[in-house]
Amino acid sequence: MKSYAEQLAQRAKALAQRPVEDTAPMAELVLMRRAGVLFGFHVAEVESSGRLRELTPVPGADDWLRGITMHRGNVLSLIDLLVFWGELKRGVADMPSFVCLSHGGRSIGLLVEELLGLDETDARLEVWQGNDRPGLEAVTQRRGERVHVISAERLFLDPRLAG
Amino acid sequence: MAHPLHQVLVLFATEVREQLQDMGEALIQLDAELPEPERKKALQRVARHAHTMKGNAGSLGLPELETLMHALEAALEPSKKSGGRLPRSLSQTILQALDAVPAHVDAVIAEQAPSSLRALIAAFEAPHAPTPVPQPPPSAPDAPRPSAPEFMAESLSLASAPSVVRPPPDGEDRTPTPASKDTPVSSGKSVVMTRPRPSRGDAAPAADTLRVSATRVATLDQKLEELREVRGTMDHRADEVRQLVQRVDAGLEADGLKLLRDALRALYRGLSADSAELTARLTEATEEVRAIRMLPVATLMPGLRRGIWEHTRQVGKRAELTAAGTDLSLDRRVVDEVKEALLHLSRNAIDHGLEDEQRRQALGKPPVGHLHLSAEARHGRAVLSFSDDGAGVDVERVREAAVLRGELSVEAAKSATAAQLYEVLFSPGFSTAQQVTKTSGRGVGLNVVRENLTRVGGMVRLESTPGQGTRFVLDVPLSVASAQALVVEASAHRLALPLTNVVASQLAGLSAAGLPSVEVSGVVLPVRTLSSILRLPPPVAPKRLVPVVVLRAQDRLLAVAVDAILGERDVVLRPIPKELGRFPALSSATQLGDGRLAFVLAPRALMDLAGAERVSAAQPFAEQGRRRVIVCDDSLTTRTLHRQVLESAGFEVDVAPDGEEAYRLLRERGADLVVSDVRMPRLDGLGLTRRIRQDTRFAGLPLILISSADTEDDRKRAEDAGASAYVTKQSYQRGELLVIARRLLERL
Repeated sequence: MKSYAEQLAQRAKALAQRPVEDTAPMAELVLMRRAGVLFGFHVAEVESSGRLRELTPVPGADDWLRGITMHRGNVLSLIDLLVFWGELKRGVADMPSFVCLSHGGRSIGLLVEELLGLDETDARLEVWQGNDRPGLEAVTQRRGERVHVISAERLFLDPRLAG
Repeated sequence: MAHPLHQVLVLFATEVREQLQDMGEALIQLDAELPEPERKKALQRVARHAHTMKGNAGSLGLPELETLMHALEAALEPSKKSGGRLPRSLSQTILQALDAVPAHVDAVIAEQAPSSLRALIAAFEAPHAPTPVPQPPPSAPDAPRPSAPEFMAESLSLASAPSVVRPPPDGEDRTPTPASKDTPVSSGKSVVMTRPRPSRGDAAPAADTLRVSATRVATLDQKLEELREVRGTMDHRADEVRQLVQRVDAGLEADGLKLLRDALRALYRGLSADSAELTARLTEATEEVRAIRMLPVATLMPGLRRGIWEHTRQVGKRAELTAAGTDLSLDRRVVDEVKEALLHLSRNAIDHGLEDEQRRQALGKPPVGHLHLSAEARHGRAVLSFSDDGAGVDVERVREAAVLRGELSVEAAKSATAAQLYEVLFSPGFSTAQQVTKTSGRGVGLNVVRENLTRVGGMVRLESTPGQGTRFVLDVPLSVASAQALVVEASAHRLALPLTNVVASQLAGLSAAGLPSVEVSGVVLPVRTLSSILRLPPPVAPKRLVPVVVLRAQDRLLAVAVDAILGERDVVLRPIPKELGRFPALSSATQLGDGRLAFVLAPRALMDLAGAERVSAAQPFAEQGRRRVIVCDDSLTTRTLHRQVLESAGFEVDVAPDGEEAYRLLRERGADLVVSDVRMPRLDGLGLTRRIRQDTRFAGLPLILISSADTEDDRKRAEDAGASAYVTKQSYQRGELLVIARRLLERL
């Protein structure tokens, strides 16, 4: 049996050690919100984001293709991702911002209501296996809230965007 | 890791292409029946280029290319000693080398493994049998000749009949050689540009040569176009200020506001002056940069000449190519599309048009088939004509094939005119060829030719005379960066229609049954709303009078009603994203003065969506093709509109910006009718009329004056001057011009 002094020394040693921290890996994503849904985009695929000044509707287009705008000297299509996924019938009128995603020499704009900027999310991604949400790569968490991680590469695979 | 001499390699790649191009030209000459001194000179050119390339390749560390050129030089030695006659197998190996070398150099530049040249080196080192002196072709009509597929199975070196692609005769365009040309030549990565300069014999153009990345030129051009759009925005702002001044003038007279009013006026004047200055500067700069992007048609000639030469060798026919007007310059992108189109059309002409030598002689035609390319600028576009003197299109075979393939019903085929049947040839997959060769007869060609030209705003049509030949007319824009457009509004969408496709615009009244019909060139067209064609919601408040725009594309006409015509604009054409490719009616986008985008519509696709009918018998081009009209107006827009109205009715039209120029055209080229504005600089319409009437040669020439003034005095002055008719711009809107023109010409 340990002496009292030994027990004290052992306790002191244990207390002197740093507490075990939560070491879950974190990943940086560019975050946006649309209709209450939080979206995350890979930094490498975000060309830019900004406020929408003009929007020219596309004659005869489906509701998800909201229009085109000039962006850095090029014509950019703007889509409403939730309508594209069929989760909303029509987009809301006021979507003052967009994020421009690019991959493989192509660019496309996603309309959003709120730009949240770069933030850390849980890097432990739950890979999305379904086919019903084009562009959705994975789902993760940010302070307990679900983040839908979008991949421009996957998004361009949708036949409706093939041209 | 990048090649240590990367920049030099890029220049080398450009130079190599120039040298190979000239070697190809020399080979073609060697294949023709040239006198010995000329043959030796051509051989010397091949040897000289090979020697230069060998030296450069050695300096740049390209050992395989160096060895190849050394082997080529060595292989030429026996020919130098035998009067410059090149064995056919050797010329074939040289041709293969010409094709292989650019890819080899490009791969080195791209830091990839270059394709091996060893097989070619071995081929040069192998002995080459001398070519026998050519004998006249066999004249027996029943002499057996292998069919095309048999020829394909043979190696090229076994083609029996020599082909001829002669150097152009004097007075016609010659393909420039590197030593004398003023033309840009593209490589994969850069553009060699030389500015036009006075001829100084064979002086090397090096000092006047600039090599610029093609991407950089395109970017610079794009930036200039953006500046032009800024100018448009400034105009819009100036207009807003002017409206503000008007409001102040109208309702706010208090002293305290005087300063504000004066300041606004000064601002308005300043903005207007700035805009004018900016416009002038931009115009100069844009023209300068655009000139860099332009390539003369002559740059197409070496490739075309070689393509024809090779193909005639393959199929055992003979053909000569001549050209005229090839100094006309086109946008690089247009040149690229035209190049592919011409190569295809030339193969078509050789396979299906030109008869073989025996047949031609039996028909009393020259034994060598004749292909001719001509180019000319017409009304801001380029018209290229490519013709052959072969058998022409067998209309009856097309008629049968059209029924068999379900392109036309039996009844429709029976009544179809030749022009309508020619259109069927452009249908996807259509071919009447009984034999499929490696390069034609599968029916994918003409459709692709048309599609590719359409991509750059071009058109193609076919004309043919049985027994005499076929002519393809390619109508392409000189530049694809900008265009004139008519901006309209439909269901709150602002849309631009290319002005070259606008035949007429007019107001039409709604009938009890709904939309009206309009008559253009004697054809009654139903009117469709642009909104319905584009699946847009109908306008909220329909009007009693609707603006109608008549569009023409090839042989189809379409009348579309719009909510408003907003006017004509010079527009910058911006490519639209790939995902909008699902909307064929949208060809590009443009930024209007207020900064908002508008779609530019594709008239052909619009007609497909609307199911526009073809107009019968191509009457616009045939019936009145000999009638020449001079249109005289100081407004470019009005001139363009008059010209389109008259051309769509089949007239041949010359345009002049004032009376002096119109009179000069009349004296030099003659005309059957003059249509002139009244108010113009230098010599006005009344002055022009008097001068024409004083000239006894034109005393009876019909002359129509058009003016917005509509008083008795105005009409009297026109009549006194000698006008045959006086048309007000209001009645012109109703199509009166064509009616009066035809009536006056009937009297002749």
